[in-house]
Amino acid sequence: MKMSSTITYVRNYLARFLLIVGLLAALASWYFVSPQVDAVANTMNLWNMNIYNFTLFVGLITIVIRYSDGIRKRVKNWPYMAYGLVLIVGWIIMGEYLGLYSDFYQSAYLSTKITLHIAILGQLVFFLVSASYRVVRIRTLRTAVFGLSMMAMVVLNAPWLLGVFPAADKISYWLLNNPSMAGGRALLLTGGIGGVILGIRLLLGLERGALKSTER
Amino acid sequence: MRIPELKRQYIWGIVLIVYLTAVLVPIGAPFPMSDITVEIYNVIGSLKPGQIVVVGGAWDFAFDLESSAAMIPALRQLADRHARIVFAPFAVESVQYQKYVMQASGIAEEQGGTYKYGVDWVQFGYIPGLPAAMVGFLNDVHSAVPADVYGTPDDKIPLMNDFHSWKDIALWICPHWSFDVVVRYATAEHGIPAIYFAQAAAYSGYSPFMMAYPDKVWMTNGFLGGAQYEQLMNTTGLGHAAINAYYILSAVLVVIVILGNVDMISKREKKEEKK
Amino acid sequence: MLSVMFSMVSEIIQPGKSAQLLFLLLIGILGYTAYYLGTKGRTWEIRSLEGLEAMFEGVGRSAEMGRPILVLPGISDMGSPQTLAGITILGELTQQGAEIGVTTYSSNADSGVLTASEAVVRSAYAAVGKPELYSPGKYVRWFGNDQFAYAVGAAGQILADNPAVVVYLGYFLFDVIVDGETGNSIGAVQVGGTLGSMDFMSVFCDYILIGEELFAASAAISKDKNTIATIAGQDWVKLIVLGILIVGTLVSLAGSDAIVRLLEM
Repeated sequence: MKMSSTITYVRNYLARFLLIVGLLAALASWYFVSPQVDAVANTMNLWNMNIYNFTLFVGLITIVIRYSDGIRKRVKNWPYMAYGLVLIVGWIIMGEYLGLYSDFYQSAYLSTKITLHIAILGQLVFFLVSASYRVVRIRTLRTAVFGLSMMAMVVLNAPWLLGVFPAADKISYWLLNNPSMAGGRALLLTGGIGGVILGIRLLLGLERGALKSTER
Repeated sequence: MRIPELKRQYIWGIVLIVYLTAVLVPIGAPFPMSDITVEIYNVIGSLKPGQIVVVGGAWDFAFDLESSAAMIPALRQLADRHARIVFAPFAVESVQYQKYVMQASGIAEEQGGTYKYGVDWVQFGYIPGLPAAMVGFLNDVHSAVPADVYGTPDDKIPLMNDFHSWKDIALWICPHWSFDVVVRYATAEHGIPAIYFAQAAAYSGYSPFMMAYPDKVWMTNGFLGGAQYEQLMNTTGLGHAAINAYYILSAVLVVIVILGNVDMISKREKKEEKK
Repeated sequence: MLSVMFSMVSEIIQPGKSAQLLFLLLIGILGYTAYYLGTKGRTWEIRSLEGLEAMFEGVGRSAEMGRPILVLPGISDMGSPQTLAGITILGELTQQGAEIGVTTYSSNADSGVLTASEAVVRSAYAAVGKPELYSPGKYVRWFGNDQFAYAVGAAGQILADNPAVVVYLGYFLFDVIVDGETGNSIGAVQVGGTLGSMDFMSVFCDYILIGEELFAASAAISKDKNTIATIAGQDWVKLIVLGILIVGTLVSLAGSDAIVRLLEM
């Protein structure tokens, strides 16, 4: 269904107007000493939080609709969708009825989600080591610098080297706090500038995305 | 003799063997002590009895587990100094993390220690809305968190009679990834000294704070920092276990990388022979 | 007169933030000036971005191999500029793919990003005249707000959908390790761009957009001269920052902290 030009106009410019108001309120409260501006910014933050909380439900509703649809149509892996729905409903009821800080809820959360999270974090080393085998290969000057600096950090922090060469940790500390940090700061600086310019593009309506209609 | 290419499954098998070896055979890997960790030990050691220390921040339990290597012995040291501890979680999982480290330290009465809840230590519930929540917490604790995690109002908690705002905080310890918020609002604005038991991956990003505030900000480095702190407190734990595993894995990683390069060179030679 | 002005300014502006405010205004002025010059006909050439070209080639590769494209905009919410850049590129790749019959999928960790991604994908299909191909939930998936739930879900999606190209553009942490290795295991070409986890991304991705290239790519991909003009403004600001760094270093080496005090104003 093609949008009318009025709706398209409102959609483009209303969003930008709200963006500008929100931006000015946030920036003004950050930079200026003004209780009135602080009050406006706090109110806008409250609206923002309410909208954000609303979008939390969007995810939940989307999942419930999709899983229900998938179960009804008996798609591939539909038993896992049913299991997922049962878990979602079960956890919500448990949290509401027992309370988030009840011992049962906390134990259940700790022994499921957090344990799985820790397990996945522990698995990362497998991926990193297999990636190192594949990636750290000295083909060109650039790959040599990349690979050797990576191995230098591993070796300089290795306990077996620190035992025989105690200055190794001072060298690794220097490498971390000088060239590595300089590079990291450069990335953050340029990224920050790029982010602000992206914001200006959004305000000017140049950025293709949810704020600009791409329908022709 | 041509060395065959290592498939990723074989590499994963090798890493698993390394892990199991480190778990089954505690090799007691030696490691150096860091001046900064000793300084942190001295800072906590110089606390006066009754001073309030906030342990607070925000992040996921799984990431913060690395900090527990240093946090647990630090809690024992705080108990030795009779400092009063306030746990301020600014993320959902931080509540569980803080409860876990308190339980693991064994200093609470429930675990056979001497620390009485409400008098010597308090656990708050999740304080949403970081960083605004941090600002609110520092300016007026009672307004920001009117009750503890169990729902007990602040005016019924003896410790909270002496804790109203940032002026009452002697030290902030952050075992969570959100240390930049602590430095920005607690140290930079109010001069509160801050210790970060850093995760190794976060250390390089946050170590500029130590340069910016040399007398007010200190950081340990991952499991190594945890092992160092355990050594200072004459104990062993997660830090020592991790260093044992890293001792072997770092050597295995170097060998694997060398094998990868040998594989690359032998493939190149084979290609040239075919030509 | 100057001291009166200075005291008036210090009453209005929060202490320690005057230099920040001036710098922000400078970025805004330079960015708009570049855009204005662009509207008046001034054009700028930007150098080729390897990662961006790899994405365009990836669309063709996907068409040849009959495999889809997967775009991951990261784990942050709509408040992150990195996520916004990722969503912009999602829309562009979806549109290019839709023109030649290539499907583009996406996975999100935030419900706000999910909503925006659905809108962008719908718009992309409408833009190429194929709105009937779009249906909600078909192309965009949500695996929960948790970093590793997203990582594992996206890894599962990589194994199930078997994409020819995986594009990581947004805010990533350790989740890129799981997805990167999974993408590599199926032989996908991987293009990455983020600010934070550049170290992990450089290990797992075949092509990377370093730092600001992520934002430049979201402008360059549109091929609109006014949008590209804003990149010139970005470069002007960088030159000014570089100048301040050099002057500041020299002044500090000479023993003065004038620049530091100026920046802390």
